Parts: sequence; C-alpha cells; structure tokens
Amino acid sequence: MVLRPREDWFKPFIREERLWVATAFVIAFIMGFTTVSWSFVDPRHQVPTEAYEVSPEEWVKRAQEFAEKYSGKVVPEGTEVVIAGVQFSWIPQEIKLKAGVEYRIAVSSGDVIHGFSLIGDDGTVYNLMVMPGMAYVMKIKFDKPGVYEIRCNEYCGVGHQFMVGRIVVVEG
Amino acid sequence: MASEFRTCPVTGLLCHLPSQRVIIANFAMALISLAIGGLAAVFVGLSRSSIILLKDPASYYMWLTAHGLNMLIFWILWFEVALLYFTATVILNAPLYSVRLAWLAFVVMLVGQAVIEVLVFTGKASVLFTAYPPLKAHPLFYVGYLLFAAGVLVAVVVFFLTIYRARREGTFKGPLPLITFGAAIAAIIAVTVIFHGAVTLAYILAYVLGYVNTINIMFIRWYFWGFGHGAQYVNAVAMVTVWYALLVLATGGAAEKFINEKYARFAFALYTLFVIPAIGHHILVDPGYSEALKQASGSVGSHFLSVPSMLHALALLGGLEATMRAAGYRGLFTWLVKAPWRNPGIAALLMSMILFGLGGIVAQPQTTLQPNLMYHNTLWVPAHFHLTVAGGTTLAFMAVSYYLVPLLTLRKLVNYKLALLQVYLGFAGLLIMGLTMLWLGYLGAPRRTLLLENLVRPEWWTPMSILTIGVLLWLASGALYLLIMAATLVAGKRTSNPGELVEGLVEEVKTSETGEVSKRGSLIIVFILLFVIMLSLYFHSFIRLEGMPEIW
Repeated sequence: MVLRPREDWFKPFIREERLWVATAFVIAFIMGFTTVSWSFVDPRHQVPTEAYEVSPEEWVKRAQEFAEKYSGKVVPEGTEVVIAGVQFSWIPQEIKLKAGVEYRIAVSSGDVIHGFSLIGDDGTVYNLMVMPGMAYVMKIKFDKPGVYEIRCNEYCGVGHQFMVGRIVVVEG
Repeated sequence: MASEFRTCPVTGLLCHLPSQRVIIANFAMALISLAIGGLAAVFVGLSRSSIILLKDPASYYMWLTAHGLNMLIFWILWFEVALLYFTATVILNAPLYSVRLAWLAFVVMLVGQAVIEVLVFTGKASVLFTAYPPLKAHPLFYVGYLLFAAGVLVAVVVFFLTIYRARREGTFKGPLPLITFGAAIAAIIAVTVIFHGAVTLAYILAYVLGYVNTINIMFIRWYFWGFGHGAQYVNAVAMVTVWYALLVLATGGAAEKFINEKYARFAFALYTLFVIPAIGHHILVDPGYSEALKQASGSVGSHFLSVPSMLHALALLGGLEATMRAAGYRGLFTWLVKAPWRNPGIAALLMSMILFGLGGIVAQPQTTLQPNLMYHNTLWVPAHFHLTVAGGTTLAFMAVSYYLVPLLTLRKLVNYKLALLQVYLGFAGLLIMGLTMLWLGYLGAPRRTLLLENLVRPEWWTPMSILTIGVLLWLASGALYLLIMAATLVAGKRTSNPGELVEGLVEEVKTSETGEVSKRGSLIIVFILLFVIMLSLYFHSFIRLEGMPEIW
C-alpha cells in the first residue's frame, strides 16, 4: 500500500506497463542516437569544439588591437576575429564581415563569465559561454548580408543588460 | 511515553507529538520562504513582462537573487525536510530518531537562511542563485549557503536513523510504504547533492577570502550543477512521491490497490542511477570540455534521466484509470472524463502532471548538444524549470498541504473550494507563463537580463504582453495559497471529527474487486504526448538549426 505497509506489493507488470517501459527506453535511445549521429550527418551545424587558454589581460589587449585595426572596415578573409566581453561592453562593439566567407571568431572574457548570444534579424539564435582564461573559437559562415546582435546572456553584474554589440554582414 | 502519541482520527496512524511539532515548524518556515520568494516574484515577473516594473537594474538583480534562493532552495527544502520527517514518523507509526537533532537541523538551517536573506536584501550578494565566480558576493553569503546545506544534511541523517529505528523496533511490518520509499530515494540523491554543493561553495569561499588566487571555472561549473540540477531531482522525486500520496488521499484510499508498487519502485530506483551521469547538460556550450563528455553526459545521459519520469506518468495516470474503471467507468477515456476534476487533490495531480510533462518535453531539445546552441541561456530555460519546478513540484506541494495540514494540526481547511480555485488558477497562470517564455526563448530573448524598453527587440513585445497575464494569474494563485494556509493554521476550526476534517477533500470512489485491470487509455495518452509530441519538437529543433548559418 502507499500509505500503510503491505506485504503483497510485489505484482508483476501488466502488458501496458511492459510496453511502456520498453517505449520509454526507446524514446531515450532515439534521442541519444540522433544527437550522436548528427555529428556525421551535418558536421557544419555543430557546437564549436576548438578552445585555447589565454589570460584575461592578454585577451583584452588583443581585442583592443583588433578593434582599432578594423574599426569601420570589413574584416578580410583569413583573419581571426577577436572579441572580448568585459563588464559591461563588447570589444569591439561592431564588426563587419563578408557574406559567404568562412571566419574564425574567437571569444573570451576580460573579467567574469559572460554569455555570447548571436541574434539575427533572420531568426538566427546561437548561444555560447564566454569564460575568462579560455578562448572559444567558432567557425562560422554567414550566407546573406544582415545584422546580428551580440548580447550577453549570462549574468555578469549590474550593467549586464547593456552589453549589446553588432556583427554586420555585407555583400561578399 | 504513551501520552506523547495521539491516534489520527482519519487514518488511524500513530502520531508522535514532539515530532509533529518539528514537522509543523519546518512547514511554517517553508511558507515564510514562499512568501518572501513570492514577493520577489512580483518584481521579477512583472519586470520581465511588458510592464517592466523595475527600471533600476541593481534592484532587479537583487530581487532576482532573492527569488531564486527563496524558491529553489528555501521553500522547497524546508518543505522537503517536513515531508521526509512526515513519511518516516507518521507513516511508520514511529517517533523521530532524535527530536533534539531535528531541532538542531532546524536552527542551523534557520541561521544559514537568515544570513543569506540579510546579505541579499542589503544588496551585498546580488550574484543570483548560481553565484558563479569570479563574480564575488560577501564571504558570509557562502557561509550561510554552507550552513543551510549542513542543516539539511543533519535532517537527512535524522530521517535515515528514524527509519532504521522504526524497522528495528518493528513499528511497521513488511517493506517500506511506497511514499516512504520515494522519500528515501529523494534523501539518497540529496546526499550526493549536498556533497557537490559543499565542494563548490567551500572552493568559492576560499577564493573570495583570498586563500586560493585562481579559480578553476570548469571545475566550478561541473560541481555547481552536480548540486544545482541534482537538487532538482530531489524535488522531482519528492514531487512524484507527493503525486502518489495525492492519488491515494484524494480517493479515500481507493486507488491504493490499483497502483502497481513494483513498477513504481522500479521507476524510483532508476532515478538514483541517472542523476549524476546527467550533470553535463549544463556545460554543452562551455569551452574546454571534450565533445565526447558533452555528448555522453549532456545529451545521452540526460535523455535517459527522463525515463523514470516517463514511467511514473503511466503508473499514476494508470492508477487513476484502473481505479475509475473498477468504479464502473470502463470506456477507453470515460474514466478520465468522469474523474473527480472538482476534487483539489485529483485536480492538482493532473494539472501538476501536465505542467511537469510539458516542462520535460521542452527540456529534450535543450539538453541535446546541437539544438542547445539555440536555447542555452534564453528564456527557454526558465520556461522549462518554471513548468517543472513551479508547475510540477510547487503545485503538488501546495495541494498535498491541503491534506496534511488539517491532519497534522487537527484544524479544518478554511475553504476547500478556494483550494480548488487556487489549483486551476495556478495551472492557467503557469501554462501561459511557460508557453510565452518558450516563445521568447525561441526568439532568443536572454534569461536573467533586465530588458529595459530600448533593449527589447520588436518581435519580443507580443509574447511579453501575454506573459503579463500568466504572471498575474500565478501570483494570485500563490497569494491565495498562502492566505488559505495562514487562515487554516491560525483560525481553522479545531475538530477531531474525521468527516469534518477531510470535508471536500476526499472523493469516495466505490470500487469493485472484480474486472480486469487495464491502463490502456493512459498508455495511449502518454504515448501521444511523449512519443509523438516530444519527438516532433525534438526533430523540429534539428530542422530549425539547419536553416541557420553554418557553425562548427
């Protein structure tokens, strides 16, 4: 019994119960199989795997150099885009990229944990964690020109909501 | 010694009075925490809706921290400690192993909570529930957190010792009753949770105090979520336990023989296997962890964690079905149509199961490596845990207190119709909240962010307006619950008359012993919900991902 102890609780599973135990495991298996096999089905829509260690101070310096060099200019093909999240802004605030070109975008933090959320007018939403001490490298290719906001979506302090940057994709 | 016990006029169980006082004290603290968390919910909920109540980010993040800690830690854990004591004493006809130790746990938890409340409300700890370093709070904040955890650990130990002594002294015969068994599973998971929490908090404390200079954030993220998400499985298991109790209490015991306990215990036991391997779904888009770990723990492990919950769905719905069939409602879905929808316990059981199920369904794409890219840290995540923890756990806990408080205090519930209204109001509010937050998350709206007017993207306004309605309904439901409880505890009519004590709460279902036990209708319902709808949403997420720019 549920409330009072009883000896005869040990009943065999009825048909529906046996069927459902099997189904529940099948559901979990289908989902597990899908995610693992997706790495082979479409290797170009995956969570980025590349990351390297770098000190927060060093990273902010690199991002500032990058921001000065390409301020107002389109980043040429083959150049690694460097983005630093600091309380409470992105360095650089705006980046111009070419459509149809593969870029390496490396993002890390100059202080605490941030979140890198890419929100496009075309409905694109990508989210990655931004960690101090570790640069996360995503390889990305925008097909069409458009505007993508970069928002912080991991709470980083009182000015957290003001961390809004932009990636502008122009005709390649 | 004998005078310390009373016999429950309704169930005939023995109730140890000093133990009963501990249970009521823990329950009262749960209510106080819920009230504080609820006040915070006014500011958090309405600031994220189209009203944007707070314009000052500092106070928004302060209230958000207060909301998370009071709801997710204090309200739920105080309630669970009360529930653990209840299932180990009243249900087993036994006194607590040590009433003094239980009071010690109470005091330690109270001090821990008091320290945290003071620091949060003076603005010295606006680091949110997760408190990720290198963001720092006042050092005493972590001390308070650790104290509270230590108190819970003492309570869990008292729970196990109580069962041990009850077994040794033979106050109950045979196996543990199902709900004590469920509570014991929750307590076992709680031990692993407290271990992870203590490691994380002690490490952060050492960092904040300057004993260690650098902090390994990957380590913190993993261990924090061993605590943070593991704790949600203490809640989930306690909730399922409460679901069984509700089904039996609300049918006046009629459902007892239609629950297959072997099946239910098997499902409970599976939780202990699957909780720890599933920690990884929190680090799916963190740099530094290997893809193999992310896939094994984050995706595959987490999908298997949903198996026990899926099994319980059939056990409970099937239990109700078999009971109603034995009462003469034999059609495929007649039992559901004729179910006692006006009974607060059954209503809460069904509403809580729907919301928890929906929360579990939307969790599947979010816990999967590739689609998680689209949902991570968006409002999709709070939608998931408001559906599961508020809709599932909190609604179930609220409903079961309508049954247990009258039995423990021998005071009549002030108004069972208001209780029923509270359940449906809460369901409507949470469903609207859940769906609109999912919508916002789908559109990329960030969680834990005060979106001031100029920061709202135009496409977010519509769901934010609808969210307002959901928030207001759920706030009204929560306030109504606190009102009913306070009125019952303070001014409920004292009575020992069993009929009067459970008036309006129990639906006598007259079952006959004959006839086959069938759970066919329930099987069809859970199959459509969890096989068809869940997998459709799951594959939709992959198709949606394909339409976005290439990333790898």
